[in-house]
Amino acid sequence: MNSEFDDEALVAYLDGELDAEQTQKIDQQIATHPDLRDRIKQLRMTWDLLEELPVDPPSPRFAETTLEMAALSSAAEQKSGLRLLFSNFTRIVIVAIPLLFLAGFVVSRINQSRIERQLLRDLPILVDWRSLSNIDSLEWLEVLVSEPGLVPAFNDVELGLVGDGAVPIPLNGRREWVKKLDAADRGRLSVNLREFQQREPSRQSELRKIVESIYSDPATKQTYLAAARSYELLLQKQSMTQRSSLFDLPLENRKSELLHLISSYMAEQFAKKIPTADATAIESWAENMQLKYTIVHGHYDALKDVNMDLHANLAGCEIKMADFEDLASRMSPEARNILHGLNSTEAYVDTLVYWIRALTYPNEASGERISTEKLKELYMKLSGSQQDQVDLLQPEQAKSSLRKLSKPRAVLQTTES
Amino acid sequence: MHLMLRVQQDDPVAYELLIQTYQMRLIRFLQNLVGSESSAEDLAQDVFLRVWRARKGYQPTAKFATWLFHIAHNVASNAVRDRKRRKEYQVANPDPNQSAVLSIEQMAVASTGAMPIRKLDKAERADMVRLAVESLNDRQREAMLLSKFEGLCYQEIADTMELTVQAVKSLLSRARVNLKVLLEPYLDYGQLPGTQLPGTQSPSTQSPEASAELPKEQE
Repeated sequence: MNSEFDDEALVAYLDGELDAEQTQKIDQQIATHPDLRDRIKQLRMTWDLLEELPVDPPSPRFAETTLEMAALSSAAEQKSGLRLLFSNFTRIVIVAIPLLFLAGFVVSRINQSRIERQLLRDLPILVDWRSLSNIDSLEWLEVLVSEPGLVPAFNDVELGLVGDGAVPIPLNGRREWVKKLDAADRGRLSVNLREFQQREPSRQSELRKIVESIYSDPATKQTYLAAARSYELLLQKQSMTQRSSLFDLPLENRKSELLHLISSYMAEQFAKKIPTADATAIESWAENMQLKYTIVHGHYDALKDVNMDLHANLAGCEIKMADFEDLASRMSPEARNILHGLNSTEAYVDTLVYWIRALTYPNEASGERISTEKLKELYMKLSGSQQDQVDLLQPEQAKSSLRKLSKPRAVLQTTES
Repeated sequence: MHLMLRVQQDDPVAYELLIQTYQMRLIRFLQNLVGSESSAEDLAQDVFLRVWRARKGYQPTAKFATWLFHIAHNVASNAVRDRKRRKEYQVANPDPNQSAVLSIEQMAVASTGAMPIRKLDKAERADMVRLAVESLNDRQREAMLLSKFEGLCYQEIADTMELTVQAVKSLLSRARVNLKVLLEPYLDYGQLPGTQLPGTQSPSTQSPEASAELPKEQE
């Protein structure tokens, strides 16, 4: 051991507490005395090992409870100061009441951490995040509200609402409401808050304005929220590309695109359960078509033509646009309204063809598909004379007839029968 | 200091930030002085409340941490004194079963090289360091915490603990040497007294310098 330096000097050296002259001396000695170098190294390594000292993090509510205690302490200080200032009881009451309100306000303000405050303040946005994040302006929300087809059409799909979606207006009520949420809802709330915070500040403040406007009138609040939610459900049915192209459109064009999307959705719903009057209209139209084109071509099967060739390709079919317009005119106002909302001739024809197919192949329209085995099974259940009749049909018509037999309501008769 | 000046203006957001900035450090400091996590949190809360109450009188002449840890020093000293008075004070973690690896007595024996040792995992190393720190006396431990974890210079530690700079120098020197004696066997090998890996020889038995005596309380 080098006796020139004691431990105190070496520790001070390591702590940078020696003056320049002493430091230089030790530096020089280190270069020539390996034992001194080892002593210093051991002392330094011991100090480094202290990094392993375990540290327990504070409890999550540490800062919050400390703030609460500080606020209460301030309130108590104010009250004791008042006692010194006033000896008259009435004056105490007059001054103390507003001060207590103030103290209460201070307590409640610093009671919540900043994150919690933001969460409570923006709770209406966060609870309805998936719906409201699609609304880029109050003007667009007004358009959605004014669209009568939107609200009743979509209410059956997952909306990602937190809790029951009914956020209380007072902040204290919100706090209680959040406390009652289960773990899954709290998690969703937290994710929504993070997503919201990631948006541009201007976008955040726009959303706050929108929500403030929605919540300003309790009488219309639900209507606005329902419109936003329905819009989200409508968007869920679109691809990502469709969604983003919709967002990029100017308001006017977006409105007509919205109408088209609603009509497409409604056409789909309509096909699942075509009203009897409309089914009859289609049948009657098909008979007319048969008559009309049989005169021209001899035997003509309008439904076969529609089903086999025309689907998405009007050019390959005898039936012309005027014929489809004739069909539309025979249908109910509800059906015509749906057709009216579509934004292209192609969509118009597609929808009519879709409905015709829904009548011809009801299982297909309802999303079910009947296997060949099932059709054979149905065929075997027929009486002999019925089997004879089916045998006379073209294969597609035979299948159609058998499909209809699998449903309680057979709305369309085949041309042969 | 900037934060504290805002706190002085009754800014609750600054106060909250101040708590968040120092809570972990303060709790570690108090935990190592009083030995219990829950007490340490209560005491840390007390320290922050004292900061709030004393905010108007705060003079931004010294480093804020020095002022804060001076308050913490007083709070911790009172807590330890009260415990001793109530005869409830116990050495932290008095139950040997609580310690995952070894007792301070075992460590002392290990430092003489009389025991075989084995490789330590991270938790064991942490436990060993904690025990070694607990073996220091209160003042050595406090000076060590302020120097190592708070980065205070000797003058600042002296102000915090109300000592002379020379006393701080002496405390830190003894603290570091005592720790070195206890921890030396593990510095290079990460070994634990009690067992020996097959085919290995205790490093302590190879080093005559490791046969230092168990450090004694020097104050």
